[in-house]
Formats: sequence, C-alpha cells, structure tokens
Amino acid sequence: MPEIDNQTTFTSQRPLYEPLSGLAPTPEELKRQRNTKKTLLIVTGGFCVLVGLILVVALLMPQPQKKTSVSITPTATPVPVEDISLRGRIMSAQKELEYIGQVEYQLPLPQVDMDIRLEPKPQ
Amino acid sequence: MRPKKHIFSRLLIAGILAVTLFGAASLTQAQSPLAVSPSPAVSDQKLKIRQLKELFRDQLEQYQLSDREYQLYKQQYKQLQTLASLEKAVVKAKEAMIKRNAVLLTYFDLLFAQLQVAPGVLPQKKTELEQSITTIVDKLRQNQANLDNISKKEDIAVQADYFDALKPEIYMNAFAARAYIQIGAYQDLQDRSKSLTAEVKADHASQSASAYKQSTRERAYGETDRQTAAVDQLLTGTYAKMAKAESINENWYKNLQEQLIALQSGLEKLYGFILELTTY
Repeated sequence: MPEIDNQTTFTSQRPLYEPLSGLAPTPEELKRQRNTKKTLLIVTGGFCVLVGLILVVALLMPQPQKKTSVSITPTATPVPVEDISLRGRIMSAQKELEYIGQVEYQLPLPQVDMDIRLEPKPQ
Repeated sequence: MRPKKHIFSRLLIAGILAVTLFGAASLTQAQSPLAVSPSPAVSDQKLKIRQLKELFRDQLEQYQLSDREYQLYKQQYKQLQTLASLEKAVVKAKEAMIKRNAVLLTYFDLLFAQLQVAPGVLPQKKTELEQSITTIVDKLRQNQANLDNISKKEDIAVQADYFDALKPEIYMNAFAARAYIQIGAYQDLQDRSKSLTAEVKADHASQSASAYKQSTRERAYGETDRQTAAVDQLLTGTYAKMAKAESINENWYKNLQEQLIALQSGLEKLYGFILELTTY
C-alpha cells in the first residue's frame, strides 16, 4: 500500500478543485453571488423607496399657485391665474374682482389738461 | 428556504415599484389641472402689457419731472424777460411736450394691448375701440414728429394749439377703452359666477342630503339666483348708459364709476354667496 503524503495533500496552495464552466459554483462563489444580489437589492430598493417618498412628499405638499403680477406699482395685488378645486376657482375669481376695484387696474390717464405754452392763448 | 427567500425578495421589489408608480401617478394626476395654462399668444401679450406698464410708469415720472422744470423756467422767463431765460423756457417747454406725447403714446399702446386680451368685451366693440385708438396714436405720432422741429416760442404756441385740438379725442379714447375693459371684466366674472353656481349645484346633487339640508340648500340657491339676476340687471343698465353717451369725457367716466362700484359690490356679494354654498 503506497504511503500517503499528508504533507503534500493538505498543505497545498491549490484549491481543492477549480471551478470549470458548466460546473456547480464553489460555496465561496455562491456566497459572493448572494452578497452581490443582496447589495443590489438593497441599493435598488433604497433608491425606489427614496423616489417614492419624494413623490409622495411632493404630492402632499401644498402646490404653489401660479401668479401673474399685473401691477404698475410694487404694492399691487397679483392676480392668481388658475386654481384646481371649485372653491379655489371661486376664491381666485374673488381676488380678480378685488383687483378690478383697485385704482391700478383702472390705469389713470396722465394729466393732459396742462397747457404748455409760453404766452397766454389768444382768445 | 431558498424559494421562500426568492418570493420574499420579489414581493419586496413589486411592492417598492408599486409605491413608486403610485406616487408618480398621483403626482401627475395632481398636477394635471394646473397644466391648463394660457396659450403662448396670451402669455406673450401679458408679458407685453407688463413691460408697457413699467415703461408707462417710468415715462410718467419723467414727464412729471419735466413738467415741473418747465413751470420753473416759465416763471423765470416771466420775471426776467431776458433772451437767456426765454431760450431755457423754450427748451424746457419742448422737453415737457415731447415727454407728455411719449407717455400718452405708451398709454394708448397699453390700452390697445389690454383690449386685445380683455375678457367680456364684444368682438365688434373691441375692433371699434382698437380702430379708434389706432387713429389717435397716428395723430400723436404726427405730433411727435412736429415737436422735434420746435425751435422758437411761436412753434410752442402752434404745437400747443395742435395738442388742444387733440384733447377731446384723447379723453374719449382713454375713457371709452377703460370703461369697456372694466365692464368686460365684470361681465366675464358674472358669466363665470353662473357656471360656478351650476357646478356647486351639480356637486350637491351628486351627494345625498337630508330633507332639512335640502330645504336649506334650496333657500340658499334662491338667494344666490336673485343676486345673479340683480347683477345682470346692473350690467344691462350700465351697457345702456354707455350706449346712450353723447360725449365721452372725464365727467362721463366719473358718473359711470358709480354704476361700476355698484357692480363691484353686487359681484362681491354674489361670489360670497357662491363660496358659502360650497359649505352647504
């Protein structure tokens, strides 16, 4: 019976077996694949949750009203152009109405009755 | 153990995707009503109006400043009666005339632009007013060309007479356009109040209500309808007054303001009712 070379067999730097294509992966490789999958899942999941959360927060936040300033003085009330709900549209119309009543809306005519002449007008 | 893990991870991904898609869909849905933006042509016109208003404000300040200087140099000329003071007075009078003409041109450009986007004004009336404004603008441009050639005291007198003749037309155009823009805005709000009332009623009809609530609503509808009719009557009266006008001037506009104030308060009351109706 040939003598077993324990030294050579168990201290070899070579792996027990080298994986070949088509053969089952090694346990280390399986572990690595699982870890990669897990990382990928966490990253993708985290990203999706983040995007979802941003969208939900954006949805819950009050929408800023688009306003168009039609003033000739800085104190003029801007008129909201549009709104979404029925109540919002009613209130928007109320604001428009308020603005129509203001002097700025009526745009006063510059004073033109001033007689610019150096001699009195002949009668 | 393995298949269970797979199912769990797939369910997790599906859930996350569902939340994401739901969020995106809700956001899109929430934003869609705001997407009803005015057409580019209307937006351009509104931008033009804003720019003209800024220009008008600046030119008005310049004209007022120039007018004060003219008054000062005119006084000096009257007191001193020297050639130098006359020279300065002519220069300042010319400047004031040019700046007054410039601010008036901008004023009519602004009125013209406002008329184009003014709601509630009949197209025929709009065209009529626009043509009238174009005529006065042409005359003011002619005046501007004449003003550039002023060099002596006599020229000032000639241009002052020319401008005097233009004044009634300036008043007529300015006050008529302003009145129609204003009443058009009220007409538009009145038209919208009717559709908003109908929407509130339709909204109520889609919900079940107790007999007591229904009778309260009916009384509120009746009151709102009466107020709508009152505003309609005020509008008809104002149109009739405007049509009957023999000459349009500052006094006519001031008298008309009384009716416009009544319209304003009538509409304020009506919109208050409509808003209240939404809580019924």
